[in-house]
Amino acid sequence: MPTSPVSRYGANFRRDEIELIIRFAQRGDSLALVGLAGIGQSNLVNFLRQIHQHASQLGQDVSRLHFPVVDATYWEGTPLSLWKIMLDALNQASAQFSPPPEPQKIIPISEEERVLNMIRSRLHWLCTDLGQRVMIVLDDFDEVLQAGPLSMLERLNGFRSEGHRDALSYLVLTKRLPHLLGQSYNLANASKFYDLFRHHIYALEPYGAEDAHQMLKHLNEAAGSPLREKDLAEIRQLAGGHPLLLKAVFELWAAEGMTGVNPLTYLAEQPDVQQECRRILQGLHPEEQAVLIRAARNALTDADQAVVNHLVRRGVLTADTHKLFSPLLDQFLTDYEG
Amino acid sequence: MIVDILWTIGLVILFIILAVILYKLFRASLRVVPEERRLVVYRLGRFNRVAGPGLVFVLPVLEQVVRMLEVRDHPLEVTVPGIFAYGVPNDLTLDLWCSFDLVRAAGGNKVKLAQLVQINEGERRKQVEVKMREALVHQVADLEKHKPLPQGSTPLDGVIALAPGTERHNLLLAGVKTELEKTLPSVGVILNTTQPITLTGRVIPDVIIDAIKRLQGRQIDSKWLTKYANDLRQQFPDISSAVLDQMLASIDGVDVGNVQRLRLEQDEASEAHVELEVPMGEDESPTVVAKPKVRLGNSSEAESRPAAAREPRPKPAPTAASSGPSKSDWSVLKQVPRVNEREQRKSA
Repeated sequence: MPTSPVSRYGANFRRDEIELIIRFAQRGDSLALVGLAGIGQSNLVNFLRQIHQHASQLGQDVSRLHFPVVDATYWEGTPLSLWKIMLDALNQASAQFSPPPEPQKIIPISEEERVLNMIRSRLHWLCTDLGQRVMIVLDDFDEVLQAGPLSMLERLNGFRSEGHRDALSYLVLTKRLPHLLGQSYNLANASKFYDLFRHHIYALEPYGAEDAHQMLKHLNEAAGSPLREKDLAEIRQLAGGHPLLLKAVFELWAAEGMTGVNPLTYLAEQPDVQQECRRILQGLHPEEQAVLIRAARNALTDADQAVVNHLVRRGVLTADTHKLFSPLLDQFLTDYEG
Repeated sequence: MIVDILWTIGLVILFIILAVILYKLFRASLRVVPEERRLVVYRLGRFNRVAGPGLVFVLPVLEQVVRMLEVRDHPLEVTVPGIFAYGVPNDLTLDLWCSFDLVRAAGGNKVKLAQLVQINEGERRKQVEVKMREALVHQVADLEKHKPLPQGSTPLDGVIALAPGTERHNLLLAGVKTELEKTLPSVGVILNTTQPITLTGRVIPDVIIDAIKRLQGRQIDSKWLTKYANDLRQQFPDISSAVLDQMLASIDGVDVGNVQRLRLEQDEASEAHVELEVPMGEDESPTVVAKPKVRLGNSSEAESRPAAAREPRPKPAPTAASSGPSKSDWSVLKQVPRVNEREQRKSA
């Protein structure tokens, strides 16, 4: 695997989002970020995981901040499996410190209770004994929020209520709005966990020009610089700052060149690009999907206004003309027959 | 004349040297031993005495201090794995107070004391574990004999039998204490009988926990779940089926998959309801089934509820499939504040 001297993360990588997250983590407040499938949640999570290495570039003291990542793609559908993932994440995030003290000796009544006790003990050690700030990143949390049960999610609030209100918070990463995911069990009205971030649900928009350019430069360097700046600019425009679309288009462009063809028409027909577009679409709420397809076909109605405004805030539609952020996605949705 | 002076000087120097040597020997022979410590003194390679506390004189050259003992009363936590009690393997952790007071433990027997001083602290702690295990094995056997569980008892009964605060738990610890009081002196340890022996940890293997969970599931199905569901219905007459299902499904031991599957079937099949069918006989298990009409509890209980609570049944909570999001649902999302905006706000 060739390596590139160009950093994967630019000096201002997701600057606004990172600053927001740090500000929340330092205050012990929780927030949710809602982004399209493939919008770069993993890159953001990896950046947070290694935040101490980026301290100089951030220009603020992050030495006491820790971001254990609970990757819910490994969730097996039971509370126990979620707690096990969380315990692993806490252990990894606190590996730099001396071994934690043995948890209080108690009589465990079940495996789940044992793991919960260990989580409580780790959190107490990190937040109270060591005085650190912990923001647990609940990555790819759609399925967990959709399945519940509520009692499991309320445990997350419970950890915080055990004396760590100022030091423990959550960053919830989803593709759909959390309260719509938990609609079947009334998450929005019945959950104190949801109360933690109900007023702090932010959109994770596609990359801005600087981050998209940095990513393409990194890919280009790693591939031996086969493309010129002009090509990279065109890729950026076609993919619209969506990281996985950028990658898919870059790889096709580098492999096949685009001489003598219309890049938009050619790329929109490629299976890799179509697959990414399909993933984006399927990650959305059915109502968002319908409105987005109508937007691509210039068939929006007045009744769509609320969803359109929402999609504008997500960065999927432009504010003025209600066009899609990526011409490739626009083309895909225009032709979509699903 | 000069020779006399030299002799005198030589004698003085010799005297000084001897004085220094004697002083050093004297200093090395005197020890101040604190209250909680003792010195093990050997003379010409053989055990002589345990000395202290206070000022102790050790004969130079002839005697050696081979070990310092700590005799203070201190807590000791010992974990004894693999103790079978009422058919359940337990790793038990006991906390007791004791002192390594060899002189008291030997009871004036110098030969015994000579043996005890040869055991180092690590070996002594190990021996305490052995004595603890022996005591637990004896006392558990005694307990099982005099306080047996009834016929047909389950692993859960085995676990509960030794739960803190139960009669068996108290009897076991009392028996262990009595036995340790007698046996620990043989390894140089004196048990502090004014302090209780406490069970501070009890770990039961996962296989047993799993077996109990399975058992709990069966028990919840048959009686507990019925009672719990009825209590909920009576306490909250307007509770919806969906919320009831959710509450039942959150109980460890209830088949969550079955409840959810039937709920899905209900969504697809329209009129049907997920329903808890409670049998009339106490020994029959209730089942969760899809039915057109909900009946919960036996008929007399159902009729004793207010009519408003019986008819019509509350509708299930709306699901994503049945009702779409409202306009306000789409307004919760915010945009991340951009640097320019923040700077503008600051300047404003």
